[in-house]
Amino acid sequence: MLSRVANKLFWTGRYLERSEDTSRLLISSSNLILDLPENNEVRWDILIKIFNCQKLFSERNKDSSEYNIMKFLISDQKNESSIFNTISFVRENIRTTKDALPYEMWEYVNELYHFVNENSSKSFNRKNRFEFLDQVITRSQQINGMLGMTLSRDHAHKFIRLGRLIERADMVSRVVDVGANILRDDTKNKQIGVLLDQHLWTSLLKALSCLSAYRQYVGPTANSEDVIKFVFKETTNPRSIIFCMKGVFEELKTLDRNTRPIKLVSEIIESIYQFNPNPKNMNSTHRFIDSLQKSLNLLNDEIYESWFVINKIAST
Amino acid sequence: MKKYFSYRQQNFFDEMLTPKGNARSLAKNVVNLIRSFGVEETELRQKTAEMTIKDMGISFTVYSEGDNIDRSWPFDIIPRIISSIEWATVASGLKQRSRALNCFINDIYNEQKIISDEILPSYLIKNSKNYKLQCRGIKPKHSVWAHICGSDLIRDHKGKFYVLEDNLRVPSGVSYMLENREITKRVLPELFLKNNIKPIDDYPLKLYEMLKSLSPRNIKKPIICVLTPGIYNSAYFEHSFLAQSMGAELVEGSDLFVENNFLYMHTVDGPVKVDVVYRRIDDEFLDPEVFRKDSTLGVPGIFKVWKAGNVGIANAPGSGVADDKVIYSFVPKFIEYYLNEKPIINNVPTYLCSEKKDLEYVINNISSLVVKPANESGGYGILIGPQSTKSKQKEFIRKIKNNPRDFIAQPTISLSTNPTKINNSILPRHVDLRPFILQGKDVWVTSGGLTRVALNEGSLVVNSSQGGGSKDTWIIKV
Repeated sequence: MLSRVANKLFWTGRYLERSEDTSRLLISSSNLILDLPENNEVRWDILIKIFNCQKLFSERNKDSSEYNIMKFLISDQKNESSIFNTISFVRENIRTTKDALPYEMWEYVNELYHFVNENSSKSFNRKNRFEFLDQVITRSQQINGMLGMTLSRDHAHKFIRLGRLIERADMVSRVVDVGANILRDDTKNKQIGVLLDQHLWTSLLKALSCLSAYRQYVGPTANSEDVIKFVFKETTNPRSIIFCMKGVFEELKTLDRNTRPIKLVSEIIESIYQFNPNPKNMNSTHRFIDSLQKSLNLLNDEIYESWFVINKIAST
Repeated sequence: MKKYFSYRQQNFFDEMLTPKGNARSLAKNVVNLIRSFGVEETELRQKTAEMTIKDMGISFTVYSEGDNIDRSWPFDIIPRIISSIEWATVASGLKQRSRALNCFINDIYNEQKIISDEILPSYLIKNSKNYKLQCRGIKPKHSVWAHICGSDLIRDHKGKFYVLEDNLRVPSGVSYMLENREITKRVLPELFLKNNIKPIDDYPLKLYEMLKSLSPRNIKKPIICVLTPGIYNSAYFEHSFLAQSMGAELVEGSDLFVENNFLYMHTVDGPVKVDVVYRRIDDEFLDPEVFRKDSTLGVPGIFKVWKAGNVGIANAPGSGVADDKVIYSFVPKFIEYYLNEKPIINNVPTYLCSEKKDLEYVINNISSLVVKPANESGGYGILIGPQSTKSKQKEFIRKIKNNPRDFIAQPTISLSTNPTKINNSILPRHVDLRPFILQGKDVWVTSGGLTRVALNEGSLVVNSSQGGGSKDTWIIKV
């Protein structure tokens, strides 16, 4: 497979996962906010923090109202991670790589793009939002399902999967980090207390698409320690960071010139095994997530260096 | 009120209706069905076709539209029909033409017998933009240079076919021919049961076999690449379509490099040797070491790899010499000279502005002629005498006098018409036909081709870049 094509497929995997995860996050946070006590000051800006784009957001908006935030995350063309943009990137990548993929891929992605293009700008309000986000999730899953059933287990599959798994691990860590931050702030403000705790962690599981798995595996009570363990360390949970990293290891194993990325991902896996969340000290969780995210960025770079940059290696 | 889908075409040959307005025998099923549809159902089918095109992402780029790189492909649901008997003659004429053109190109870059035998004046070659001195003395595999040729055919008022031009550089349109059939099958399925329509989907396989026959290595699965200038090219959709249908790699110049006189592509497994390049970029941009130095689209060194016989390139560099409209006028002579045969399909009579007698005729009759630049494609820079103003004509006369070698003129041919859906009516519109000829080890022609239609009343310009539409083309077995 051409290096250029591999790079685009890797990013296709990342962007597809990002648009799906973002959609799910927006649905579950909208639901969480509806459940909060009436006089609670609604903090929509946590969503902006998750994407680490506070600066860009404040440049483009006067206040962090629900409307502005939804607009920014769903359809703002200046926001690289908006759903509109990630889907557009997927489409542009597929346009130039479709010869490496099943025929349906271009058609499905093209339909998803037209759907997002026609609907994203009228889906900020609560009435249309859910239907829109739901469609993005369903259609993304349709694409992933089709790829799963038809794509040969060769390079194309490998690089799409690598992108998807790294993006998911990154997203999980971001979402948990924000949860941890809220609780850290709330130790100063005990008013919301246990209610928030349960709501917050349930909603977080929903955002990560593993609520029912958690209930079956752990039970209906959601607290920080159990949830963080479940989404970081539970190897049977396909939405956990450890699951993602093991998948990355599996894919890297069969590629040539994999020494450096393999070493790094093994270190990440080891560090997750070593990590134990302390419910009384959210700072330690935050520090762990910080270093995990740095490692994920590094992993992304190692993959780039190993397979996507064009190296003229003396040929035989 | 006038009946739906009824007109009498007196001045031109109509592909479906007789001058009295009756359906021609092969067109009866189509005409009756569309008439039974009436306005509403026809509209519905056309809309379905347009939705399909959008969903399938069949697009092309119009350069003047800036950032809009994917305009939906314009398609008209009413097909164009040709009988298989008539097509058999046309197809053998096209094969004959392809063989003669390739003999000519091989001769002109080697012995140049056609010049020493005084069939072709040497100054026409010396002054040809597309004649590449760098290609002198090269003999590609099978002595074939132009492997893929798209020849434009038209019909005069009697329904007789003529070749209007041969496109030998990087002819496009074949993917749209294939997609048009896919769409028609979806929107007019009932007609496929009633008519014995020749399938056309063997093109990618034939293209693959032809390209494979150019491989320097005799291996089971040679590495074949489609070389594209990238997504901003008007035919990017097609490049990607063809690569996908052949299971070939779609590459850009930066994916390839030359080492030790071999061509390689950068892959995740390291460099992989390339056997055949189906290039969709012009000669000028192919190799900055040989042609335009500022080209970033091509591959430095690819020319010498080809010259050494270590990679096949389709079409071979320099093939464009026969794409020239001045050279075109000599093709009937080539057929007699190289093949010792009579041309099966005629040329449109052509006046060479470089010939004194012709030039005089062109200047005196410019208002009734079509003047074309010898080396442009896509319908750019042409003058249609009867539809132009006096000042435009004067401007062209000035241009011609400055550079007579660069212009040719032809009588304005009354292109045939085909019923076409225009708003709520079915009206006659002018069409041409672009079949595709493949020549490697063997010669092969598509069953039919891409029918292009000028959507404006009376217009003769069918190019999609200038508002033309397209139709599915049926060769019906009789």
